[in-house]
Amino acid sequence: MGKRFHRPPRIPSWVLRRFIPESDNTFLSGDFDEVYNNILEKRGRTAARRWYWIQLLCWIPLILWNSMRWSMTMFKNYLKITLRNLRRQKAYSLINIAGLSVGIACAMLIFLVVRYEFTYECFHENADRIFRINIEHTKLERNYSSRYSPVPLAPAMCEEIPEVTHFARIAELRQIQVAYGDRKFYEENVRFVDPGILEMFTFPLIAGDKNTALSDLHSIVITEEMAVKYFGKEDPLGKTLVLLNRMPLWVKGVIKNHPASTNIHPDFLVPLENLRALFDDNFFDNWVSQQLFSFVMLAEGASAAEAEAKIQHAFNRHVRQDDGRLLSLDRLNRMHLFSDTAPTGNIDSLVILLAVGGLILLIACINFMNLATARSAKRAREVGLRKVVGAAKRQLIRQFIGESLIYTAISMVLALFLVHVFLPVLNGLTGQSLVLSQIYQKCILASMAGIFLFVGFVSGCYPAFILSSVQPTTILRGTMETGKQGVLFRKILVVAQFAISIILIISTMIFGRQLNFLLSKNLGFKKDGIVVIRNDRSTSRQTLQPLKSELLSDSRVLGVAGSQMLPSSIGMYNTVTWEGALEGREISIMFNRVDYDFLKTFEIGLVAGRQFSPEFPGDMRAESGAGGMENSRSIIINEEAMRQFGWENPIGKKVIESYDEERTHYNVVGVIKDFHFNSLRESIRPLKLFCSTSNNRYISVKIPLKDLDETLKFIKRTWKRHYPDVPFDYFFLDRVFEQTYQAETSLKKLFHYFSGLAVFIGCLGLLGLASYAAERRSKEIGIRKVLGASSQQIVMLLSKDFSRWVLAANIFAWPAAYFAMRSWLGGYAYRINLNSQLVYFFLAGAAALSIALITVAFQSVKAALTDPVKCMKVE
Amino acid sequence: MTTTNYLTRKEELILLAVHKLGDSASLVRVLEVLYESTGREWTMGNVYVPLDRMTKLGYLKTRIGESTARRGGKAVRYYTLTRFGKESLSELKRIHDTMWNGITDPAPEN
Repeated sequence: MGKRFHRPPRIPSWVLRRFIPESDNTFLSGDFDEVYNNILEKRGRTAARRWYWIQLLCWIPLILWNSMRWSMTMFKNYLKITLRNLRRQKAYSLINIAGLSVGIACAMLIFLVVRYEFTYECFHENADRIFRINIEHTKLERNYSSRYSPVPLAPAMCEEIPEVTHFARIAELRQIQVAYGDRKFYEENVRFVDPGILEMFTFPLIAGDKNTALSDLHSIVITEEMAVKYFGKEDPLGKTLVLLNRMPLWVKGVIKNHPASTNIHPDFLVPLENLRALFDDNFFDNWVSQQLFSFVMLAEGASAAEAEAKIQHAFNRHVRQDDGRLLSLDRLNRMHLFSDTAPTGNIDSLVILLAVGGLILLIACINFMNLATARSAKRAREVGLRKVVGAAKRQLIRQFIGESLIYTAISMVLALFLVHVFLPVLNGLTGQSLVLSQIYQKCILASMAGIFLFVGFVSGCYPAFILSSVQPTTILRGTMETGKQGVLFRKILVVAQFAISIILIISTMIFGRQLNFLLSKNLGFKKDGIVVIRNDRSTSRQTLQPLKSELLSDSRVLGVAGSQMLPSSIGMYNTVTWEGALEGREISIMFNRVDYDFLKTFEIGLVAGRQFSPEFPGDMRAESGAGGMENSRSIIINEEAMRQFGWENPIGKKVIESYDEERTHYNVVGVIKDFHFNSLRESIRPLKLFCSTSNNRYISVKIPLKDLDETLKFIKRTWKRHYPDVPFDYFFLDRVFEQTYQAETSLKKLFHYFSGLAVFIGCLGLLGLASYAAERRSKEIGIRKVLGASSQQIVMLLSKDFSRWVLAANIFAWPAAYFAMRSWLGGYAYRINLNSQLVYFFLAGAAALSIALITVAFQSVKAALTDPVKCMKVE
Repeated sequence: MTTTNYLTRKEELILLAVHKLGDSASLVRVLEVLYESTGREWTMGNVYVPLDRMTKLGYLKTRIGESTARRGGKAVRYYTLTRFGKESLSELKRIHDTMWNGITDPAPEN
């Protein structure tokens, strides 16, 4: 036997020591050391180490179980005491449990909201193998990513790359007229798709056969909802729907309605080949223009990164020259939040919400700690006695943590109740459709257990340590200064609590300001009083002139303009180069086709040059194949485009379409002021306007706001006369605009409620503390009153302390809120100047202070008004 | 009073091992004896917990022994049977003997 002692590995032995009962510590760790040394000598260090770790892993559960078995008897006693206390101090328990349950309910609701956003597309069974191919343009002045890809891409990839097992392209065509007999509707969600879509995506068929439903060119698959809409109670299978007045399709399948948590929700699935009838032959072989979504499904276990590289490689072979387009794969179940290309969800606001939820929970915990420590004096005698009888500190800590776990459990039940009640309210705010049954899922239950343990331990640990360290002799002799423990700590907690509340109030206000700023910002065009009529694809090619002149003949109509897209949502772009550009320089530029009256109707100002006008026949854009001499046309650009082209004097300069093989030249005839044609989150991009009188998808009619109904009726009558087959489908432009900021609006509302609740919980805690302070000082108050203090003085005395804490909270809250808000505002290209909003910081502070004072005053006044005799008599 | 009702088989074995070791029944030695007679590795926790329980129930008493370098200078603790422990063990033996009396080993002969 060797004589040297080998020390066991440090980490496991440290952990082990935490789990050895105190009294046996030396013997047991000695035993461990001995066996470790024995094994080390016989079988070497590795074996010994392994043995040590295994022992550790087996040790901990055994010891925990053992100690639990022993404490069962004590547990019964603890439970009895807890419930007795709960009953005896009703107000205190009520405040505690109310605060905790509101806090937990908030956290749970927020968790549900956030989780919901994460479940997008997850119902597709293959969601982790399906990818959308995105394309990033890297050769442009600024990089743009697009979710759309060329039509031949997906099938080519599926053929050439072994990892790609399935593909499905989805082409969106909006405003498609669908008819069954004389039931005609304009449908937003008609999608032209590859038949493979039913295989890849989880669209369960309730009628028809998955394998053949889309195999025939003239078939169509519809959702349950659409089946009811068009066919009522009739059997939809085999019925004929006519698309666009000329495309008869037989219903071959009915799929279930889509869940709400998806962004891919086609109502009608039509085989993609049908697009041959709508577009020219070039459509299916064009590798340049990006027309539709391409989804591919990889083989099980295939690496996305490798497939991505292969796809890029294959793509480069198909396009003639390297045009700097970079392909990337976007996984289906991450698309909603984490797509690099226009995610539909907003991960930032989810993070903010989660933070708010956490903070509210923290406030609730602080409440509990505060009240429990303040009340510790009441419990001190019990603790003293327990100690005398032989309770170890460890047991006392366990007792108090257990107590807070019981409180948390009660609050949890109440919180669940609150969640049930407020879930519909929340759905109204966020536009989500959470269902109650979703609460009871594994992950939610697990997180609830997490919240339970977190709240229980966090809020229980401080009072547990304070109370368990009471000296039994002082307490039993009665010489202990009751309620003195943790005064400083309590103050810090109250300050922290109010700091959080103030931060939330400030954030709410700044959110509101920013949102108002966005909604009321001068966009560069007039959106008020504009009624937009959607035109049918087929009739949009006709001239608008007869309708226009008849509408304008009425004095109530101030202007009529037709355009391909609305000024609030211009989404198309291509790349151009320009006169005087360095070789190979290109920028991407948004474009819109508008008629002569567009600028006038939206009141978009000119900086230089002129508007489009019928007096200049060259303005009109030739729609197809204008070769030879006449391929130069007029365009109007915005100031940003002018800046990027670097032109001093733009009129008469040339812009050249770089993807156009004929390299069509366009003459700049005018420059308009920049206007915001997208969300204000983005800055203004270059824009060019073509003149066209045969692209009238949207007809904007400017009308005065008075006599709205009459005017609308007049427009409708006129419309019906000119376009009897096209439904009068209209909306107000400013409404569309509000929808753009839906995310901000709902975030603002959520913030309103949750910061209100945070303040409420904070005040509950303050109420408890104030009543406790008043109670503790009741004798002092009595004496003061006897000696002639007025009620006001007493109220002042009691409120002074608390207001000092709340004021201190401001000092911490302001900088924190400032930096948080600055980084949030940083996400907006157009934003309010935070420094000019500092008054809101003061307002928030004042609000918190006054709410706190009202809460405290309530208690103080009660204390000040009590008859001094009553409180002095008590001994 | 039937004294052995509360002991599990694991505890019986450990109690027996303590008895077998006489004065030198430390946790480590018990572990070794158990390994030798059962051929199975026992973890520390699997031995300590029953030892602790039986001490608390009064079957065993402990005595602090010497400290050696091998133990990192920490004292060893020896377990010995109490009077109650001895009685229980002997009763156990009696029950076992009675049960086995007159029957043969059920293992198939080869």
